[in-house]
Amino acid sequence: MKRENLVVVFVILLIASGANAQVFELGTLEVYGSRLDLLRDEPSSCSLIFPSQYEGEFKDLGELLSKIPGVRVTKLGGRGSYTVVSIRGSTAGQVAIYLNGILMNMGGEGAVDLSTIPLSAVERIEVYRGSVPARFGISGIGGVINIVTFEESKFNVVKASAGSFRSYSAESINNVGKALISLNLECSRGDYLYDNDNGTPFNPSDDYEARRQNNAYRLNDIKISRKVGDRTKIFLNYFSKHRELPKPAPGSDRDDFVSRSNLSEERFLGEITTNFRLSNKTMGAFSIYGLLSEREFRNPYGDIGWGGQKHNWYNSYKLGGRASLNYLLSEEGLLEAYLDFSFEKLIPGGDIVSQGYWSPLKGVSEYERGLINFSLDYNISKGKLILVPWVRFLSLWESSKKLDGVEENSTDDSFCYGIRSKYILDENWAIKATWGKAVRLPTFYEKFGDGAFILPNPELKSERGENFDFGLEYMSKDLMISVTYFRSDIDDLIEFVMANPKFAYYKNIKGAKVEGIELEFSKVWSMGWSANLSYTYMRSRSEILGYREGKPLPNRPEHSVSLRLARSWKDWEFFVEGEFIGENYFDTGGLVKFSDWWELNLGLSHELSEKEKLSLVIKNLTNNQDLRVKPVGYGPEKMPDYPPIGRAFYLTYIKNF
Amino acid sequence: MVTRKKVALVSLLLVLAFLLWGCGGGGGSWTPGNLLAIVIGVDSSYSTANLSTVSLDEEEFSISPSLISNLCGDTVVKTYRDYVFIVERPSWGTVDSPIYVYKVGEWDNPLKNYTLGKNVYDIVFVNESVAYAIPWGEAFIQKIKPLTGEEIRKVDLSSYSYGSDGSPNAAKGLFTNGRLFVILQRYDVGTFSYGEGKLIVINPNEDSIDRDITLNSKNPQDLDHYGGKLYIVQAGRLFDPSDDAIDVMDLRDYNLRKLCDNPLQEEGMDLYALEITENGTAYLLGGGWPNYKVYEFDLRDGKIGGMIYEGGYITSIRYDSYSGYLFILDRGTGSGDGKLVIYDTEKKRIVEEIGEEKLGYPPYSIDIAAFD
Repeated sequence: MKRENLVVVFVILLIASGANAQVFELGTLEVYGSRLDLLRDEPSSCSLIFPSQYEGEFKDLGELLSKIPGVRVTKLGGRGSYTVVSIRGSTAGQVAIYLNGILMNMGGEGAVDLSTIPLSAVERIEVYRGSVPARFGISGIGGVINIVTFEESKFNVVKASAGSFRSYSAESINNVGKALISLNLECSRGDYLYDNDNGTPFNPSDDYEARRQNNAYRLNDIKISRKVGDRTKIFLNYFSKHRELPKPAPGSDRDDFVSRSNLSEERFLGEITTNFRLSNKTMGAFSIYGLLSEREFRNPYGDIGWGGQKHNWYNSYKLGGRASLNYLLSEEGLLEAYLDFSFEKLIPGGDIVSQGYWSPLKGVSEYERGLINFSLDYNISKGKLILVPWVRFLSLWESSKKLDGVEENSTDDSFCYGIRSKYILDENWAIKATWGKAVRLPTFYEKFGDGAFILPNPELKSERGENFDFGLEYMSKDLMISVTYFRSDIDDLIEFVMANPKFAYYKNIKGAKVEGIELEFSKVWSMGWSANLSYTYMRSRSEILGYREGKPLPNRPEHSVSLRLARSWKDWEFFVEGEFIGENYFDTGGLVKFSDWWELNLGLSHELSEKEKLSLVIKNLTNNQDLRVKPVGYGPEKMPDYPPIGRAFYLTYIKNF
Repeated sequence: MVTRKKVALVSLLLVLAFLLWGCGGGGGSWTPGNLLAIVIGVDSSYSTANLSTVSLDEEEFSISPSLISNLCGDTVVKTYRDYVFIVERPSWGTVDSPIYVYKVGEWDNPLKNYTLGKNVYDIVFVNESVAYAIPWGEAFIQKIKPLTGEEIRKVDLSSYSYGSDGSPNAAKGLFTNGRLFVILQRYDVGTFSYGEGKLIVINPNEDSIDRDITLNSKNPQDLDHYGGKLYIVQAGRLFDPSDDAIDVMDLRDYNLRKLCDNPLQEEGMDLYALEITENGTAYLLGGGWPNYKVYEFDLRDGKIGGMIYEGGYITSIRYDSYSGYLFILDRGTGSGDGKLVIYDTEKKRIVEEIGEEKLGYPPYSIDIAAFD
């Protein structure tokens, strides 16, 4: 690689994407041109998603991520429901999710609910699998998802959607002075019909057609991006959501038996980033950020969850900063250093605390965590070979305070290292390989308990992982193919264990191994045809002694397929896409499986004028709701606790100004 | 001289003696030809359960693992002769409990699948046609025809309710001396507190409550009987061994007294279960974190004898009078060390330990099917 290219990489590394908003582009889609130069030279297994390519299809973040090989999205119900992601067989808590470089995983809950990150004004989504670049620190045994928003837009945009189950959405993206402001409002009743077996799968006489109850949501999201001068930018985000919580379906969803449980969330996020240039060889950036989250859980009948809690709230705030420095050592060497520091506090309230007052565990009034994370990547470019050895260091202190004022403290240091490499065979072909170690910090509850039902275990260690992957990649103007073998070894998995009929704790147990193959294919033909295929074969095995040894891990399907065919001609665009999940175990002992699942979506859009577009999407075209949980041998074949939504129609109107 | 009157009187006396002997308790007149332990295992995430069997006919203990899978993660089993009743408690016990009725050996499909009240903890059989379902989450007990699920009658317990859920939290029952005895835990989840523990005596002929007896401690966990007496184990507040106790009640006059305070208090253990053998040997299960232990227990003076087993989280112990075995269900510590332990109460030693990998999941509930 020439020095000039290294400089290009260098510059792109520092400056957040300045790509303009793409509302929709008809005509030939340039596959190669849709990937940034940065990622062309990125040794990690990385995929990019541009939400603008799915404009008008009423898709959420989870639906886009499910098109990426190695990625598994789990939703508890339909749109707006709790949604988490796993990468290469990881747990959801092992995947780090960033919004414009701010880590969204909080200490109270390891996993990030993807339904709290709307796609409004999102320019691209980067999905890193295996070893990740320095700017993401020591995070993500499974990988990293980075969601990057637009900084500016060519157009002002208004979108409006309406669809099945009283789903509505309105979105606008506007240039106001030097700021880009996006506003998104969304709601849905989610009251779809499905067949309920009343919890008695062998007794069809008491089955009934149920309407999903207490399944509505509404959210609003405001994003503001503003550049100040050439080097500084500000990002602000306000998000709020009110989500009703439906009960597990079998035997529920009756008119006289409706749960009124719900979860409300509010989030404020703000970040200021400044780039600086010390010399031709030295550039850097500095940012400070704040994140405030308030969540309130109401359960008036005490019928959701464990412990009969009726009203809890969880207030968290995180303050932090990042400093990065990039130094061109030589024609062949670039040093990237990142320092990330944060302080986080979680203050619970409500029944979980008042119960703690009575509980023998004495209740917990607050949790705190301070964290310093240092990352160093050394990018070596020697001819056709790119090598990036890296180290990560993390130092952590955390504490909990009980209601009686007694504090429990814990500190931990972690050191990880690895290497990413890429060998460019010619202008199209390349070989990639990465290897590295990573950790996942325990959440507050895993380490300190909840003061009511979960006992503390301050000796709890971080989960540790070692990742390896090896792949072959072909890229040209209209074709991209990549095949990657991956393997993850995870140790000290943190497991939930009952101590007696009422109390539980978390402990470290042995680990698991996951390996598999990812295939990604994108092709654009003349005459406006395009195809995208992703396939993941994954084999997971538990190493935990006892009944689990050698058994597959639950919810790590052996086969995941996503296929999309699209055709654009004149003012029209048409797509059909399908998803298939096969050989997916439900339990930890290899005795219960989900039935194989597939879903077909269809879409048609028409440019009404140069600035207007109308889209119709039919999701789950065949109304497939036949997801079952089945024994391997004898036993009841059951409906899932959260049955899938049936066929749904969505109409979207988009106008540029 | 033997008169007709004397012959008639003696004959009458003989008939009466025969009838009284035949009507006496203990059922010792029938010997089952087959004994099968029916074991429910639950996986580590409490998301699903399975059913396995262990043959007890000879000391080979042959296992048939995972005969049925995909049961709810909170499931218990009850048996009556060669009928097996699988009781699921889904959705944190907030919906009706599905029941599957199987015949031993016919595991492909159940005979019947019906629902009972919320969070059924126990089913007490009077005979094949009458049983009492004890739902912890309801303010009643259901008298049912167990093979069909048809409800005969409800026994109202609402006057004993306690706590925000409006239920008296009936936990376990025992049928003896022509009466149904039911313990009420009376738990308020909001404050982790228990109301006075109660023992309810129900007349099955009218399904009326003969009497209720206030126990000396709180949170009764188990009851068993021997020698005309009923013994009730109470755990009090969990993780507080100072308030546990064992009461004893005379079944003739319902006179209740405290047998002893917690004999495992110094061990830091709560009391969870009591099993009594045919010859009056008792075994007491105590639990603390992270260990549970099973001890011999003297019913006469409430003293602890030797420890027969120490394990992780032991969910239950169960004595079978036909085989003389005491079954100990040890889920272990979550590290693959769960096992079903079979203790021979006559030989006074452990005769078998069946690891969780042989059962499919760590054990959770057990009952014994005894049939011809």
